[in-house]
Amino acid sequence: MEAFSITFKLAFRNLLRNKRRSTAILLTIVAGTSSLFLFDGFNTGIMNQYRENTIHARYGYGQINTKGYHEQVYEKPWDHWIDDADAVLQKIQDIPQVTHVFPRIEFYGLLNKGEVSLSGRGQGIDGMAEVGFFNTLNIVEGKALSDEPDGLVLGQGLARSLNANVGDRITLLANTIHGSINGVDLVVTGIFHTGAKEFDDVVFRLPLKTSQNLLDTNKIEKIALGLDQLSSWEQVARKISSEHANLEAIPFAILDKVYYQHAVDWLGSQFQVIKLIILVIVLLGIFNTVSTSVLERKQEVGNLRANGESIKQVISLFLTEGVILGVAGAVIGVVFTLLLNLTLLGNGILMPPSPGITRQFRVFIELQLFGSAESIILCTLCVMIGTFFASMQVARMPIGKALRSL
Amino acid sequence: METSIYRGRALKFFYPMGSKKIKALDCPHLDIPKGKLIAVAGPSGSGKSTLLNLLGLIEPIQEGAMQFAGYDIGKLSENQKTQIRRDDLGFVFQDFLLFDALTAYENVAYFLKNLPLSAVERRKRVENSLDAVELKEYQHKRPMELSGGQKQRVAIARAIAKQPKVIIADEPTASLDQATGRKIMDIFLSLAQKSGTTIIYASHDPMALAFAELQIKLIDGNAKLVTNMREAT
Repeated sequence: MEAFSITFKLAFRNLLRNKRRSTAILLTIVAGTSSLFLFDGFNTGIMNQYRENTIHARYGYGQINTKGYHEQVYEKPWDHWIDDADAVLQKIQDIPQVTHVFPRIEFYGLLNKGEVSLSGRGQGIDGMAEVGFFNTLNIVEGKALSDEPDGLVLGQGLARSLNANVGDRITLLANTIHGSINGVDLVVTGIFHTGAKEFDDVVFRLPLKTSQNLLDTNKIEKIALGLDQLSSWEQVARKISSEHANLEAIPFAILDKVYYQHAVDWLGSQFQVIKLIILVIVLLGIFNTVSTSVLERKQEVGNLRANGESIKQVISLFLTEGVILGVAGAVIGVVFTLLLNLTLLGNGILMPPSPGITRQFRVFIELQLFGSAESIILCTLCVMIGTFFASMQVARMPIGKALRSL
Repeated sequence: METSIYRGRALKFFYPMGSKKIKALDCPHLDIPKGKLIAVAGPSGSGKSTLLNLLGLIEPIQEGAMQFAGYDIGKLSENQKTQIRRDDLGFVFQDFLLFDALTAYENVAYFLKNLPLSAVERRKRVENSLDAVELKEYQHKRPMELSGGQKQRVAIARAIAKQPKVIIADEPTASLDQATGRKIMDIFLSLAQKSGTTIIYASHDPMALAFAELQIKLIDGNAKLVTNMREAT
């Protein structure tokens, strides 16, 4: 213990004595830790932003439909829609973790304005309920769907193709569930731009009741859910399965598997590779700086070895210095990053459109406790590895040669 | 009873110079007795430091054989040599090689951490060693606060604190004034006489050489070793 104590004392004071050398190594570690921590926070920010966008743009935390409905394509899908909608909605609303229920139906229809007719995908929704939750729909003109029975909101691409503006009248034609043609006149109340082109080019929204009248049905196709928090999903899904044998709950990650889950997996792998590259750069930087400083201390190493210190003990002295600098530099790096995030990066970073999205979005750096611990550990390990290899060269040098060095 | 601490036979040492080897030492016969103050004298480049390095187990035995305290050095592993340097040898370098970051006390105590001593014994050894070189009052000073002579005395205290069989000193008075150099040599002489420690030092300084009980002369810069041992009366 005393041996460690005096070695620690020598290591610590060596660092204070050689301020230029120590500062160079410390700055390398601060930069490395800060890069890793910041990058981790950036990743988390992007992933969370992407997740929130997905939840609050289209799907909620997940959707309920009849069993197997999501996986299959039916000739008459309405035969598999949810009956007795009001009772089911009430029962689901009573689950404590459920904050919102959004009944929906989807159908294809023909939109007509003047001489232009276009087919589109209609979504019958409860406008009043959805307007507060689906806040990333991004209304660019007019307002979101609310209580107007003849209200209609159009995707930006669809509105452009129809040459429709807010206030214009549109006629919507669709097949009823019985096969006959039905129609309704609607007024454009808003135009939205989610950023996903294939969505904005075909989707339009109208009140649920109006759509049910148009399709001549009281059923609903699915129910999107709002929850108190993301982690409640499993519990809610279990409850729904146990209480409604004919229903199933599907999370948003599966509903949007192609874009959300694949993007998350793809970005996750990419981030790991970039993290590895950062670590290699940090390791090389530290090895280079430590090597230079160790080579300046050959005579000291010669003295240690001549007086009976083993190679292991010499390396331990350098490693102790490395660990002190590593931990100090890593902690400073973490604190520096936290301050940076509170000041310069406080407003987030404006990012170009991500895959499948046509608008810019702002990413906030979401620094995580685990990320800080990981950065500190990884950078300290880098210092230890760099110091080990750098000091091994000198510690194994012939003692006479080391002593003759200047 | 064995009276030699070192016994060398046909010792030769070479330094590489490009593809050639330059002979730095050629010593057919060397017996160094225990408990004496022994000077290694000779002009620059004559192999004084090389001999000290061989005696200090710092350089390997390239040719010939050498025994230290009964051990055949050429047959020892690196770990065994490290152990002998730790337990039985003390070094005093011309440039002192003190740890600037540690106080005089801590410098003396540093290498004792490897010896099987209790904290009390260790403290006592450090205090006695500093006392022996009359530096107890400077024990909390760092090397940069000490004069050259004081630094050399700390280096000696560090060597004697280990209570080694042999202390090897390279030009111990080279950077000191005459009065301080004399004081250092007095300490060495007293140590050899009182504790039976063998002290081997290389020097150019006539004053320091005059203290020697025995002298090993390296002449002509050809690394030809001649021993000229005379018992001090």
